[in-house]
Amino acid sequence: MSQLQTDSGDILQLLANGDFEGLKADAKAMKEIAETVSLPIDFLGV
Amino acid sequence: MANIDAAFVQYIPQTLAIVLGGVVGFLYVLDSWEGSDKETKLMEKPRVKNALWVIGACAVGFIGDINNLSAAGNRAILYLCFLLAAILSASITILIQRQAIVSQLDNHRKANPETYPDPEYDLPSDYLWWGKRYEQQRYDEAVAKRKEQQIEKYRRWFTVFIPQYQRCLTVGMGSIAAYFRSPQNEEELARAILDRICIVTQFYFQKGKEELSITANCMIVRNVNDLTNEQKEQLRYWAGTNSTHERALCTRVFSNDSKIRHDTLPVENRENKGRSLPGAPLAYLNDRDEVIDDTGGIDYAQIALDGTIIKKLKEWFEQTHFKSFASLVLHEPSTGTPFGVLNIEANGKNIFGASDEAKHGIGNLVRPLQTALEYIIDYPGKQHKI
Repeated sequence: MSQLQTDSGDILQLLANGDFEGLKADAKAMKEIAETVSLPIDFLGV
Repeated sequence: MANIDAAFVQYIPQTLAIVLGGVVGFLYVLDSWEGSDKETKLMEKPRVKNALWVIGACAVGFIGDINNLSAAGNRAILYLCFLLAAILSASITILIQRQAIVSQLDNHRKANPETYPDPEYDLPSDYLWWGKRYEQQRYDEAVAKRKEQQIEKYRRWFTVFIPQYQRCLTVGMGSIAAYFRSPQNEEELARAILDRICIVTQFYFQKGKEELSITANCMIVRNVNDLTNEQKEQLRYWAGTNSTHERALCTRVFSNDSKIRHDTLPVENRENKGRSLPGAPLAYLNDRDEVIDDTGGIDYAQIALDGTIIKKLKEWFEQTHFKSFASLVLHEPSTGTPFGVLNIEANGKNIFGASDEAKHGIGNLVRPLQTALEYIIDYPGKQHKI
């Protein structure tokens, strides 16, 4: 038996608590990553 | 007849010299361009050595025969025929070999574009300058490099994008549950989803020098008779008494980074589709997603609107911060009836990429979050309220 931990438990917690400032901060952190990483469009493989 | 035969016999030596020169030129290229000349000293290069043999042997014969010219006195011409034929044959063989490489590369590009060598690898020139073996080495190196780049893309995909994307999806799905628990938080939840839609789009936007800004908003359709006074005041591009619109799209929720800009846009009746404003009204009217790659490149000739309205539209797009946008139709989840439009706007061109394939791909990534919005956004006549 082993425990499975995912990376989005905190998101569900923020939603459950109605912590919209926390959700905003999380979006800001993600946006910073999205700003620095460019995924080539051709990689969509469509 | 005898004259013709004599003329024929007369040119046999030249013909043989030309054929022999052609064969020697062909073999010279096959042998000399087979290896790699990149790391070889000049005098040790096969093509130099072989050339010396060909020219040397020819020169010896030529000089030797100067003192022993035949009665016809045409030996010099024979050597000239031989040399010219050899040079011509060698040139043609090189060009054919080069063309074969170009064709091989073309087939590779068609069959497997993901491993096609980068433009920095000029393989046909590598063959010309350094020979077949060097060209093959460069080809292998180019393919290996492209494979590494592909692996790096996969690495980025799995280690950067997927974790962030699953967090975005968690917000989308978690928001639906949160909405049914606390419907009064509808706007905040919708805003959280709009933020994630901007982030997903931003991941794929081709970054330029300018700082990128992607924002999103939702517009809800209303009958014109139900518009509030405030919404009536916000009505833009209305064609006055010529207008046949009975509905209008009103801005409802904005992503957190948006400059709040409340708009009401007329939606023409279906029979007057040709008079529709581009973007959100047209997307709603056609029940089909619209992407404007460049707000400066809209073809106004396709829109049967008054010149004054088109002028106002142009002015608006010139002054607004966004240069491209997507208008995705929002549908009532239980009935599939359109009830509004999700707008995603970028301050650069080609918000969803330049190609149809890219638009399709990014649209697919946004789609689950768009679905979550469809459950959450309130609008008149909403079917799936608690």
